[in-house]
Amino acid sequence: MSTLLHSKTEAPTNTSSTKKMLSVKNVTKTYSNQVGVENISFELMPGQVLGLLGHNGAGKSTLIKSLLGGHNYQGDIEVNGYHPIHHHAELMQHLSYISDVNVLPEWMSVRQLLRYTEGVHPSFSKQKAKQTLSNTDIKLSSKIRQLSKGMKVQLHLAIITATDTQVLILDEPTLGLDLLYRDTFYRHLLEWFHDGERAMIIASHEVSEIEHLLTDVLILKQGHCVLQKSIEDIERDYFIIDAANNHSSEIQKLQPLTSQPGLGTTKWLLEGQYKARAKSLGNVYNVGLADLFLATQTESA
Amino acid sequence: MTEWKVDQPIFRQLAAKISEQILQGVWLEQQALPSVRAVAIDLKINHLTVMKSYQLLVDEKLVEKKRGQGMYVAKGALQKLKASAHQSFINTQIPAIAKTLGIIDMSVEELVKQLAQHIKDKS
Amino acid sequence: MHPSFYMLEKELIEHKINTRLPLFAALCGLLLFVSLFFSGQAQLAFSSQIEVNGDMSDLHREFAQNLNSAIYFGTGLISLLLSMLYLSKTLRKERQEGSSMFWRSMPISNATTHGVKLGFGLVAIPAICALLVLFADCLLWLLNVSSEQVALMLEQPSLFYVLSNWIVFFGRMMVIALVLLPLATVTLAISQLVNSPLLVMFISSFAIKWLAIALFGFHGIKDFFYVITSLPMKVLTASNQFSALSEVSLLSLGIYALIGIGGYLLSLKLNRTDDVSLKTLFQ
Repeated sequence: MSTLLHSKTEAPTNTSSTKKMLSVKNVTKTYSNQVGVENISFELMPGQVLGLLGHNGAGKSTLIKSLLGGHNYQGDIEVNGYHPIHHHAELMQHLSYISDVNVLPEWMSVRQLLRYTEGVHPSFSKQKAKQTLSNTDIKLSSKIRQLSKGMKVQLHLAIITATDTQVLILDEPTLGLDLLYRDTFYRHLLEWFHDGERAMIIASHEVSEIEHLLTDVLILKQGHCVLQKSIEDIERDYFIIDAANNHSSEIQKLQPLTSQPGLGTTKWLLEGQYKARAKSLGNVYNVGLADLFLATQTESA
Repeated sequence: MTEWKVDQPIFRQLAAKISEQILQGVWLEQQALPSVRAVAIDLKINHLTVMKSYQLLVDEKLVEKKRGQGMYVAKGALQKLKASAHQSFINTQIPAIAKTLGIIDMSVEELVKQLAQHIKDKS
Repeated sequence: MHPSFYMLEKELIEHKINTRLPLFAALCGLLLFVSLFFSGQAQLAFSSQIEVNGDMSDLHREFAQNLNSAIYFGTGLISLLLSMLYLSKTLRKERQEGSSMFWRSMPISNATTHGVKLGFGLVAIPAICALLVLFADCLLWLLNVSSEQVALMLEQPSLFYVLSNWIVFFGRMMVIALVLLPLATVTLAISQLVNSPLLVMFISSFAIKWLAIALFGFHGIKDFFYVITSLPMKVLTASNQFSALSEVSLLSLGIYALIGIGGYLLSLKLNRTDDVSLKTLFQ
């Protein structure tokens, strides 16, 4: 079963354009004594939203940092044809990034930060950023140090949505944000996303929060890719069946990926090919990304 | 964020929701439906899902695609939905009611009487 | 405006000491000036005392020259100090406070970043300090025109002199910047590897120097270090800034320049990614 999970069918999702925005080929990053990520490959077309899932230390941050030119790595990465390290300045005109940790310079004021970004980023519109910020509690005169975590994320998003970049990388963006901030965050993000030909990578372990935004998913475990599929393929390739316990032995034969006992019944995660055989044994459900994520993590890979 | 059920793909749930809203008169015939972009942003789901839902409704002839203008509720959609709701009531609700009547020993006459009373009170 | 202008501006906001310390010095100068100005009585007594005591023109010239070179020397020293502190801190600070990922996400090449850092440390800081010289000269010129007696003792007879002195000082600081450039690139490189780069540089140069002498009886390194480290000060104090430079052998200058290029390349390599450690150097 693990071979099936590993299969890398890279069917690009239905998008009008076929312009490749980002391509990662066989990227491996090894730290002095441990593997960061190993042999990761994927491509992003406009309109795609890739979910990068994995526990802490699974390699999400390593992969993201490599994309941003923060790591030396083996393999090939290209964003609109640019290399993260060798064409850093050009690449960063097309790529932007928000992370959970605070990367904004604390000692700057909001106004200073906007002025700086306007000065160095050719596609940044200060007007637009100010307009976005006028709908928030963030004052231009505030020092970034004085802003709450939620406000900092809002500010960072306001800066990014005021730039015309094509690829956005989000690293646990809503970690530690309350519900209200999360909702406005995703609203702004999606408005910007749909305003142009763009692609996104969202790394998170809050699977349920991003599940419906995604068009594709890549699940990492200890630096290895354990699942890489489009959401459409996942709907086709997996299902969940909630069956009475007297059918258990029969379902066991279908090589279930996981099982979760409930009241008198058990929920099984099965591969799509067995759907016809299993349908009569219980209620069939769609597989949630969270179930699949758990399955890839518990399975001994 | 919207809560989705697990027993059906989201695009089907969304299509069902839009159908129900057409039936309830939220979206009138020959009038525009919200754009794919607006739905995707409001419901925080990806646009491909929304497109699939609309496509499903187009296939069922409930919604029309107008070139360059987006999605419109098709003429006759309401009639079609009412008919199918009627049919589904007969197909699914009636058997369920019959089953309940059997369990609680209620006669059809009493049901009709209660139903008539209820409708009278409401109006 | 070119992006590097905004980057320089950012450095100015980030490293406030480079404006605050000169400002503080200017404030001290101003206080001194005010006290001098309002105690005209004392000056009168002071100057008449000199008049009585001896050959006045010589004494005046000497005093004026001393005062000028004190301003020169003091300001130059402040500038050098600020430059070295800045260069040893700037790249390290970004990494420690976690903002390096933000700067990295801006469309700026690594070479531009280095250019701006070197430009700020070696040109912008001396330019700020040159303003201090200008300020001091202006005050002395004011003193000069306001009081006949003091005028005799000062060398600031005209605004033209004040302005030209300012430009000469800045020019001299630019020669120093050139002389410091190799040291600056080495500092940038080392500051990415260790936490107290200046201390490490000081101790290691000391160690290399004495090891060479103790093990091989080789005094060349000691002499080289002496020549290089004393060069900025010599340029600052020499009557002609280029004469100090011409005293150094071409070999020493060549080696020094090579070290500088090496430091620059190393610093670029280190700052390119966040994989900073001595180990990654050899990957």
